[in-house]
Parts: sequence; C-alpha cells; structure tokens
Amino acid sequence: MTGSLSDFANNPIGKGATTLDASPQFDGYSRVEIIVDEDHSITAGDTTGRTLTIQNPWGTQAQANAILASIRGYQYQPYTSSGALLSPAAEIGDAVTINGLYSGVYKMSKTFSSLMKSDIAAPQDEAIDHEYPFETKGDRIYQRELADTRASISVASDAITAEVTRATNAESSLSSQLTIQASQISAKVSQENGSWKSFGWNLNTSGWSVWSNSTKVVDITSSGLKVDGKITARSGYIGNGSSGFTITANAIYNGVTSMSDTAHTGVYVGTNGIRLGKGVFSVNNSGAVTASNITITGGSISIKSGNTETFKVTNTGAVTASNITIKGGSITIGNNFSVTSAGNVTANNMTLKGTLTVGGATITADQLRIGAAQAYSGYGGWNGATNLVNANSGTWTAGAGGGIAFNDASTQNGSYRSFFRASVINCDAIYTMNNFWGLSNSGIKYDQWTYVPKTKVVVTGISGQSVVQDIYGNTQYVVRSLATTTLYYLGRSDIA
Amino acid sequence: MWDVSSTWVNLLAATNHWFETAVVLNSNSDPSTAATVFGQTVLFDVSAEYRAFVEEQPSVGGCLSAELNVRMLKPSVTIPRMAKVRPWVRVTDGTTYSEWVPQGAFFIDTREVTQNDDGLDVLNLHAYDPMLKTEADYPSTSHSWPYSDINVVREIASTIGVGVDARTVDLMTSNYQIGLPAGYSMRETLGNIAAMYAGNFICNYDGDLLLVPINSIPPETNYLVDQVGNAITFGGDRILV
Repeated sequence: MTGSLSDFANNPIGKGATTLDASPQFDGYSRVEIIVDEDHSITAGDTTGRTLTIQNPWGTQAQANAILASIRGYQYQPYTSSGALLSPAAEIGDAVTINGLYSGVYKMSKTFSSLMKSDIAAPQDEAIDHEYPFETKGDRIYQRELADTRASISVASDAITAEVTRATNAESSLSSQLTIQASQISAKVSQENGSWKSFGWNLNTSGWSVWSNSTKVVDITSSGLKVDGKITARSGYIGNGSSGFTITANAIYNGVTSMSDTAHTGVYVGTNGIRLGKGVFSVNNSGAVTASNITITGGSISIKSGNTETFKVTNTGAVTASNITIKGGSITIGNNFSVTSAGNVTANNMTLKGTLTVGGATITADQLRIGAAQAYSGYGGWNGATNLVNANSGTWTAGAGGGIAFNDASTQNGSYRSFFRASVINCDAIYTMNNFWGLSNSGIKYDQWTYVPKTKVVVTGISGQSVVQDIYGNTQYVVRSLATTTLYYLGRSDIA
Repeated sequence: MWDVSSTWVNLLAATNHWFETAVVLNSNSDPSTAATVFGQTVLFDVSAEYRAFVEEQPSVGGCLSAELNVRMLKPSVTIPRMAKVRPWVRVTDGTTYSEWVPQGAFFIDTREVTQNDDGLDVLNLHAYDPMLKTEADYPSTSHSWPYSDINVVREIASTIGVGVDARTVDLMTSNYQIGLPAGYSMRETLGNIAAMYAGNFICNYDGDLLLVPINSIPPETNYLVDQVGNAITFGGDRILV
C-alpha cells in the first residue's frame, strides 16, 4: 500500500545529514512551452518567470494551459545532501526538510545498512539559475554546426527540387516529341494507304484500323476493339476478365462451367448443350429439356412419332393424345364430369354408343342383358328372365293392378306386335289396350286388323269352345277346349 | 511515502533502532514467507539508485528506471537469467520488529563472480526495475484508437507485467485521447503521456508505474512536527512555528 501524492510526507531529517549543498530557489514558473516538432511549438503564460520546456509530439494548447495552471508559481529548490537519515519508506517525489531547507526528493541513492543512509537531491546542473541567458563556447559551436547542417540540407533540398523540375520539364518535352512523332507516323501511313479498297490499314493518333473490301473490319480506338467480320477465339474471356464469360474451343460459359455442373449459377453454351441457372434448366444436344419451371405464352406443344402427331396441347388447353396413361389423381371436366383414380365416374349426362358392361350385365344399342335375362329393342319384353318369370312353375306372377303393356298395334301392323311366351298364365283375364286382343274367362277378343301370333296359351277356368270376337262383336277365331286344364291355341281360324 | 505501520513509525521515532535488509529471489513475497531469501549474513553490499529526472535538472516527459547493485556471497542455488530480485527493509530495536517494506522490484541485467581477499566467491549483480521493459515497440492491440491516456498506461503496464500505482490513477483525470502510437516505443509513449501531466514515470517499490509530477511536493507547512513528521498538536490543533 502506498499513500496518495497529496500525503507525500515532509520527511524531517533535520540535521541528520552529512552534507547539504543548496542553490537558490528557482523563480516560479510562469510559462509553458510544448515543442511539438522542429518547427512548431505551443506556449502558455508569460515570460515574467521561468519557462518549463516540454518535448511532446502529441502536445496541445489545452495541455499547455492545464500544465501552466498546475505549476504556475512553483519554485524548484535545488539541493544535494549526502548521508541523510531518510526513512526507507520515503519515495521519489516526497518532500523533505533538511536543516530548514524544504524541497523534494528527485534523486536518491540508498545504501542498505543498519542506518540506511541515503544521498538525496533535487538536482540542478546549473548551480545558478541564469536570469541572463548565456551560451558557452561549446553551445555556440554546437548551434553553429547545427545551423550549417540545416543549411546544407536546405541546399541539397534546393538541388533536389531543381533536379526534379529539370526532369519534369524533360519528360514534358519528350512527351511532346512523341506526340509529334505519332502524328507524323499517322500522316505517313495515311499517304501510303492506297489499297484500302482491297486490304489496307491506317494508324493515326486516334487509333488503328484495318480495311477490307472498302469495309473497316478492325477498329482499335481508346474505347476498345471493334471487329466486323470473322473472329476465332479458342480461349480467353468476354466481359470483366476471369469474372466474365470464359471462351473455350467448344463452349462459352460464365459461372456454370460444364453441362454437368449443377452447383453454380450462370450460363453454359456448348456443343453438348445449354445449361442455365443452378441446375434449373438445360437442353442437351439430343434435344432433351430439363426445366424446373416453364411458362408457354402462346402456340402449342406437339409431340410427334415420325410424322404422326401423337400428342398436342394448344394454348386454349385442348389436349389431343394417341395414348394417355394417368397414373394418379383424377380427371375433372367442369362441374359435370369426373373420374377418380379409383375409377369412380360422376357424370351429369352420358351418351354411350357402344356396349356398356356392368359386372355380368351389358347394355348395347338394342339390348339389355343381365345374366341370362335379355330385353330387346322392338320386342318389348324379357326373354329368360328368371327373376321375372318362375321358369320352374312357368307362372307369371304380377301383383294387383300390375300387368304388361304392349306397343300400339297400329305402328306394328304387318309384323309381330309383340312376343310373349309362357307355359302357364295364371290370371283371370288379359286385357287389351286400345285395339289389342284380350283374353278372359268369357272369351278372346281380337282386333281384326292385327295379325295374331301363333301363341300357345293355357287358359284355366274355360271349358268348351270359346269364340273370339273382334271389337265389333263379330266372331273371328275359335278357341277350342282340349282338356279340363286345357291347352288352347290361339290364332286365326285357318291355322287353329 | 510508502505506507508503513505504526510499529514502523514508533520504532523509527525511538532513538535506539536499526534496519535489517534481505533480498528475495524470484518472488513477490516478503522475506518472512519467500522461498529464497538472502539475509545479511551473505549480503556484503546492497545499494539502489532512484531518479525522477532524465537529466541532472528539472525536466518532464521521462521514464526513469531504478538500479540495484548487490554484492553477496555466491549462493549455492542457481539464480536464473533475468531473475527478479527484491530488496526489503525492516526496522527493529532488537525486541520489536516492523513489517518488511519493499525497496523496489528489479531484474538482473549483469552478473559477475569475483573472489575476495578471503578467497570466497563473491557474486556481483546489477539489476534494473521493470521500466526497462518499456523500451520496446508498442504492442499490437485489438481496441480502437484514440484511447484514453490512463488506459494506454494500463495497457503498457499490463504488457510489461506490472500494475499502475493508485495515486497515478487518481492523478490522471484529464482523459487525454491518445492516437495510435505507431512507430513509438512504449517508453516514448509513456514519456509523452507523462509530459502531458508535467511529470515523469518511475516504478514504485512494488514495481508498479508511478507518475511523479515535477511539483509533487505540497506547499511547505510550518507546523510543529516530531522527529518522524507527525504533527504535534495542542488540544487537537496543530502548532504553527
């Protein structure tokens, strides 16, 4: 631990010193001069007292003012004392009083012994504080040699300056001469340029050009090189040196260095293809295009096999394809038709011109077939529909109010109106509609204009011979009873 | 004045007292705990010189290095190159002993072994305090410049492996901004900063950097004091003489 500077003790030695030599106290400081460099200094204060001279290249006026405020009036007391019984705890900068003389300890030599005597001083080479400046002979010699050296340096500096000026002028003159020579060369070349219509060249101060067949094919100016004609380059760069396009024998590229380079952005144009961006677009020399994003703003896309166009998409969205396999998703047309990948079809309206097969059922233009049951267009009935007619019993079963309706006879004139076949018909009556024939337990009525099919009918509950009358009540056909449970043949009388 | 105990002060005030010296090798511990201590039995001569001015006249902007000379019986232990040697002093009356007070931190510069008249090997050591280490280029730094004066002083102290005396920290309050001292040595840099405060840098008894202004001593007072500087009071009031 150390005490603060403000506590620097006044080490009282009293008469405890072997010797004491003191000079008069200096005048108090009244001025500070900071020498920044050889030509510049900063001052503060006046010359009424002593000047503290400081060498400091980082000196400022503020520092000079602050230092002056700190030391103004301070009077340095030189002394030298030997054999002083100074406490070993005393430090450089402490105050000391020796036999009534008060000063500081600025130099101290200690001898470590039982007494710890010290030689202390506030040193001052100049025993006298010269109020009247005096320079010794040595000082004057030093100052003179310093002045001579500075003068020599100044002379040398002037000589160097003169040499530099001479060299500058010489360089300027040489430059002018070169300009003149260049003009003369240009003029001479121009005079000899008699074959520019076939091939020639011209060199002048603005550039150099080559002519061929009255055309300037090469023009070099301060702006650069312009070539009008064939250029062959197997290597080099276009643009900003190695940062621009690289020219090789088979490609020009910038960034992307080859067709297989998907790690860089840029462009590659070569004999083996074109590549753009960082693996986003390429076309090889076989025409294979790979692109991460394509937008076609017009025209159509067409794929051909030979000369046959097998696939086409127009800019209206119309797709024509000879073979499409959709491996997933769904197909939707507007709001009225869709097919899912599971085969579910939804259609608001469907027209089928061929055959529709649903499991074991088929629908054609004139036939509905469900298993063994068939319905034909123009026949108006089912054939072998076991679900409709009990084949085992041969009995048609219809509920109350049910029945079978046949087409209008008038439109079937001249052909079979209908075809109905069964081994047994269990009913009380078959009624006609409009002018069709009818069958009841009281007899058969028949439209005389209609050709009656040769039908075998089993009629129960009818005995004897019945008469078939037409709608006018005229007897037309005869139904003959063959047995109690009788099989009757219904037909014209001529074929009955 | 280095802080000392009342024991030191009282022993010093007594008429019958003397000092004892010891030199500690490569340690900052005092002789009571240090591993290698050379006592008075092997120390022939020990002297030290301390200065505040570069020239033999008042000047500022200097960085002064203290010097130590030790003449002792050649020890059996090996003293490494550039070893640290620290002289310590205590006061005693034969019965009471004060604490050990350091007298500087020095590093051996030269050594010489001679023989005395008794045929004994005598080791002569000459050493300088850490200020000599500032005679090197300013170290490269990672902070921005300019840098405040006290921080520059701290940076230099850290570079040479010492601290900054608390009194210097209290004194340097101007906060002058120092530009990058390119081309300057640490000693030149330290000297230029000392000049800003009209002072000189030295190393204190612990080896830490201490700024000593040219006018470090307070104005003279004429109070009555005892032999060791304690004010003699009357009813609590100092006596002006």
